[in-house]
Amino acid sequence: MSPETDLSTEVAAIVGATHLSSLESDRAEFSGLDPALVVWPKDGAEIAAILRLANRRRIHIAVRGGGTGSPCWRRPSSPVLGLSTRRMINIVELDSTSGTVIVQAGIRWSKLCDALEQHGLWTGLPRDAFGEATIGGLLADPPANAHSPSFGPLSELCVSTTVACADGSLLRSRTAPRRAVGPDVGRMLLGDRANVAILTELVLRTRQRPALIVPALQLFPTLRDALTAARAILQIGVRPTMLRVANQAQAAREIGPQNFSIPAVVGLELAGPQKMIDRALDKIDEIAAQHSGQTLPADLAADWYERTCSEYALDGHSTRLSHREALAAIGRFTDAGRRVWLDQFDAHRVNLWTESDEPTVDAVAMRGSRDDHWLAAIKAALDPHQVLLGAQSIE
Amino acid sequence: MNQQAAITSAAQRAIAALFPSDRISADLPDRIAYSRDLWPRTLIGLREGQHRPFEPDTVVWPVSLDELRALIEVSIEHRFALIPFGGGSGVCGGAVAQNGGVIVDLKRLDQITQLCDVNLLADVQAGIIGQTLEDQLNVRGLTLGHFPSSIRCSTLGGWLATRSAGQCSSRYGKIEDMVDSVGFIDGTARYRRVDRANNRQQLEAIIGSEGVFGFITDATMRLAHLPQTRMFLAYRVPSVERGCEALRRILQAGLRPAVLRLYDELDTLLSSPAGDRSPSALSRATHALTHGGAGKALQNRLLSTALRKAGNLSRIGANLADRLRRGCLMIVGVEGDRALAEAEAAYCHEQIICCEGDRLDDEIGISWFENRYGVSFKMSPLFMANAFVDTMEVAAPWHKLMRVYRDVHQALSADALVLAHFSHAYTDGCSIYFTFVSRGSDRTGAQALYDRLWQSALAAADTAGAAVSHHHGIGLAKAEFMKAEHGHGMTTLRALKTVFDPHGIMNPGKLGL
Amino acid sequence: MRSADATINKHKRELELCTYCPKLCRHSCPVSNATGRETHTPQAKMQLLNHLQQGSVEWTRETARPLFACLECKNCTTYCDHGNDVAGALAAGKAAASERGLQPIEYTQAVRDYRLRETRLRNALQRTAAASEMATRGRIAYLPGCDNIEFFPETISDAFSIFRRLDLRFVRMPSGITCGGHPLWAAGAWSAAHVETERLLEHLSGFSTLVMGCAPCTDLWRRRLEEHGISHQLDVIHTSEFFFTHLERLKPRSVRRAALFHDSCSLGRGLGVYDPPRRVASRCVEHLGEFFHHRDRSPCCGADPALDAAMPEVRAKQRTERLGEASRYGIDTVVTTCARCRRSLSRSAAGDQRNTVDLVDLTNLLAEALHTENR
Ligand SMILES: Cc1cc2nc3c(=O)[nH]c(=O)nc-3n(C[C@H](O)[C@H](O)[C@H](O)COP(=O)(O)OP(=O)(O)OC[C@H]3O[C@@H](n4cnc5c(N)ncnc54)[C@H](O)[C@@H]3O)c2cc1C
Ligand code: SF4
Ligand code: SF4
Repeated sequence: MSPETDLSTEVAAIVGATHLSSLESDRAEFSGLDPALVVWPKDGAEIAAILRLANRRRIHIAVRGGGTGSPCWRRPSSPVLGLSTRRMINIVELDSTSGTVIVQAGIRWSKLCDALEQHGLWTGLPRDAFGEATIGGLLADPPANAHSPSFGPLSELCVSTTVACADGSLLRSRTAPRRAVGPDVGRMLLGDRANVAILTELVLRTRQRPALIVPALQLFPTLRDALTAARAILQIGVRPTMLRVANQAQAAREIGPQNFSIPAVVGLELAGPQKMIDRALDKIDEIAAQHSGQTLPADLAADWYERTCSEYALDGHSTRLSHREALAAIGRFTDAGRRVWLDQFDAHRVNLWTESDEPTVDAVAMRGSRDDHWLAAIKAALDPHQVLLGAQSIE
Repeated sequence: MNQQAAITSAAQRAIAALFPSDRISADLPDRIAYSRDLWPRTLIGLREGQHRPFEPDTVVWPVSLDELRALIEVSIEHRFALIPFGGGSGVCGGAVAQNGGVIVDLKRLDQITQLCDVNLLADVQAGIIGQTLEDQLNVRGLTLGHFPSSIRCSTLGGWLATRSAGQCSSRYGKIEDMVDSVGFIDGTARYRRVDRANNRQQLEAIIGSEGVFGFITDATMRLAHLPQTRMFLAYRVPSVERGCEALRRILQAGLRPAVLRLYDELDTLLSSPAGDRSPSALSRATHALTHGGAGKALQNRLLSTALRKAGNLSRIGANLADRLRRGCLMIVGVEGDRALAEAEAAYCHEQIICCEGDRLDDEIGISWFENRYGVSFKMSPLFMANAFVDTMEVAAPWHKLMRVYRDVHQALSADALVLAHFSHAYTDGCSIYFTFVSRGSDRTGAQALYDRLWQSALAAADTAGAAVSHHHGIGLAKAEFMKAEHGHGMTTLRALKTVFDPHGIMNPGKLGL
Repeated sequence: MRSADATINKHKRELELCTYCPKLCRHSCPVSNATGRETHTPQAKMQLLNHLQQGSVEWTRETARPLFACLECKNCTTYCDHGNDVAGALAAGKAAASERGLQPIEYTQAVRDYRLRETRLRNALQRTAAASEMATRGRIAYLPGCDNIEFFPETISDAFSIFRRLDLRFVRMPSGITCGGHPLWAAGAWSAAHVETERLLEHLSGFSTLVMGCAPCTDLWRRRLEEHGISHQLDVIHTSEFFFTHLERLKPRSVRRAALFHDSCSLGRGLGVYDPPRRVASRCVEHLGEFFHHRDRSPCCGADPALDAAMPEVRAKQRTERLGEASRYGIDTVVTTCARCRRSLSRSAAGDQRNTVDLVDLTNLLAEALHTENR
């Protein structure tokens, strides 16, 4: 019996014979890794069992979600098992009182949004924004645009988690809106890129689908005015569910060619009760006017909204900056032909996007860096046999 | 439990070499003052003459990161415990030297080092007292928006170390929502800046770590402009169920009013700031709810009964409340831009009316605000009257909340007078803040009763599915419940401990680590 | 029983309230804010005194020391819903310690200084004042206070120029007095203070009204002597109140554009005098502004010579913060009513930033405003 068959028998004993494969086409999903086997567990218990097996046999595990990301694995010398969450697509429980929903990590974003919609719930983030990504993949390695000024980053969606730890134990953290019981272990493992644990189930917080969702678009004479107005809008306490600022070239893309000049725009989405939205819109108009801005017609706003929701611009380089840094950085973009845009606003920071990264070199220097030393230490402590092949996403 | 050897004289000398004489002390008054935080269990002991419950060997007041680092190195070499001490306002025995060691008071690190009113971000050292920080921001037209009742006696570092929550949390969030980055020195004397954007995982590990991994030395905090307007509304709702429904509707519609507080029937009747000088919000509220002068008298009657005989008090209280059908007081506070705040208030009003709320005089809300820190003044008189009081704050999703409320209430009621309010609401759930008053026969009696109450209340909360703490933290008091709360997560916590503090010098015994 | 111990006993309930209190005033104490020391919070000092009084902690030099870490500024009382008089209790605690000979060296020194400076002060006063301004009897006695005599003599001539404007020719400085005795009380030397006060009373026997330029002494003579069982028939008022009652006759003109008003602890929290000095000052400047913390929340300037010697960081911090706030507002004049505050805020401590703010006494400001009008 070859070691591979031996392994597949053991794996089959965990997941059932039909849920593993050594076919070339399946293994190809784990580009560049060439796993011996690919396995499709149905839940966290099976994943935990596989991890225990991996520890015993000193093999590695690489995890794949929806297959939309571009993970980059360091290829190890010992055998690798590819683990895909594609069977873990169930909504385990939905509680409409709390608006919490327990989902398996392999459910795709669009499916999740559709299911929520049936119950009158939503996540506050656009359905089409993340294509076919799985919730597990999204939370393990959040894309830069997964953020709303009103809800915060995507990780804010997650109340608690169930993860399979590298040692093969299953860790379910308590579901409560906030806790003060030491570090929040469950949420700590979000954004882990399957380094020390595999997300298997998540409790997400959703909101009632708002009575009204209204897009709005404001025109500004300069990018600086637009950015300053956007900041003022947030700092006064308006909480749009989406907020973007774009320069001329990017605006042309987002809005389409117009018969008037559009040096810079602020685009927003507001959601909630009618009266709240009306007041917010008044406030936005008022602030825009203070920065030489003007409201663009509703049909134009609707067009813009349609377009940006379905194709969030991700084809650039982004840097997270403070507002002051962002103001300084955009001063360099005098060439209106080059696309520049800003998103993921909060009252303090914003992501600045450019087509290419060379003009923001200074800005990049201001950015902190990931503490890889710490991540390695945690990895050594929680995954002593280096069973999990954590993925680095390619930026 | 970690047993630390008593500090050797060589160690004492090594520490003394690091600090000038006015910033190191082993004087008796210092050893008394630093032998407890505000864990009520130690107040029970104090009443009976136990005035040095957790006596430290030495106390130091570092003024720089270099001093802190040097101290850690000495501590690693000589193996003694370091206990970070902020305001010492923690209510769980988190900042005490359980088995001797050196208390490291961070209050000399108390400066705002940088402040940017474009970004609304401030770099602040950890030892600054909350009210001092808020005052210094207010002078510049800014606010942190964090108003725990202990704001006058707690520090920024303590808030971050315990995941503190303030009275305006529904608008501004808890402290973990306000922090942009922290400066942190771990148990190996390594300093790092841990930010939200790049090191979210590590930030989650440090926030709430109650000093067991190292020292939070400074933090960049998110600020807001001081609100243009502030308005308060008060309501009577028929029951906690209906009140909670109103809270939930407001949050789930996406609103974030600064203050949302719902008192259960008994809390509505009883809670009122002590203090003879200022007529309190809640006594006025009680007044309003009892249609006249009965409020104060009733409060006094209940309290004095409470002090005479602990058992079955809640039932007496509840019966009274029932009979008088007072309902529950709810306070809503909105703030910010006037037009937006007014719209928010109008929407809240609609929702509360939908849940059978009756609008009360706005004055009740305003005076709640004016006396918002007053209730803690009740503590001393209760202890002086040989009673004790403590609070327990749990959190649960909305669909489990009423069960948690009932079960915990029941677990405490046999031996204590129990009041509760709901003051931190989220889209997906809420916290419940229980206050319980009781008395034992003597010291051991009182402490035993106190321990029993906590045991049964925490067990009830755990079984009903609530997190055992929403914002007070764990310390020594709830260390035994860490296993129930985290289960296998304790392995992860222990792994974090070995990474940050391999020598085990940092705040031993806390968080069950 | 010793007299100080008896006074501590009167504070029994307050000691207990503080002992079990969750430190609800701790942010307001200038001493613990500067030292960062839990032991110096009002709560801990009161708990300690409680232990000492009950005998659960023994009186020693070491255990007595924290009792002296109090400026008696009463800021804590403002934030205490029980209204606890921490300053009063600790003053008794200091005295009790001193009666046992356990006071810190700086306080022994302060008592010694009180005696040593007497000649110096007399000479200074003689240099400043005309013989005609001194007397042994008269209707109104004006006591400028030791700090004005020693450091700000111009205040005395300014005061007399105002008296003259008012045609008050019967105001005199009682001869034989340079100081109202507050430093002795503050140092905890109660028996010496008693003796001194009796002496002062003899010198004052020929007067019916006492106008004082020193805020702590005004508080002492108007209110606190009685607590110590010393009674007198004198009407005691502070110069700022005195000028206020004559404001309509004085008709000052604005001489400065903007100023901030700094409350003295003794005049403000001690005697509740907030408005009269403001009313006078607001006639002398175009815009009289307020600090963020003012009236009953006004922080102490940190003045207490003995405490300053023992813990210089306290005054340094108070001064830096107070003046820093004024500079942040771009205001360069701060008006005080007390020479103690004026000296404490203007005198820079080691390592302190240099002071660019002009500290003026209300008396100087008023004289300036009247003088301008003259011209
Ligand atoms: C009357 C009263 C009212 C209260 N109200 C509230 C409230 O409304 N909301 C609320 O959240 N809490 C409240 N608390 C609890 C308490 O104030 C909080 O837990 C507060 O966060 C503690 O801060 P502190 O500075 O006093 O910390 P401490 O009590 O000194 O320390 C708490 C823990 O944190 C650690 N620690 C302190 N500073 C640091 C640091 N710089 N680095 C690392 N570790 C550190 C300590 O070792 C200890 O384990 C209240 C307490 C009292 C007595
Ligand atoms: S003075 Fe009042 S607030 Fe301060 S410690 Fe004493 S009781 Fe508490
Ligand atoms: S009187 Fe002033 S110095 Fe004394 S304890 Fe109170 S606040 Fe501190």
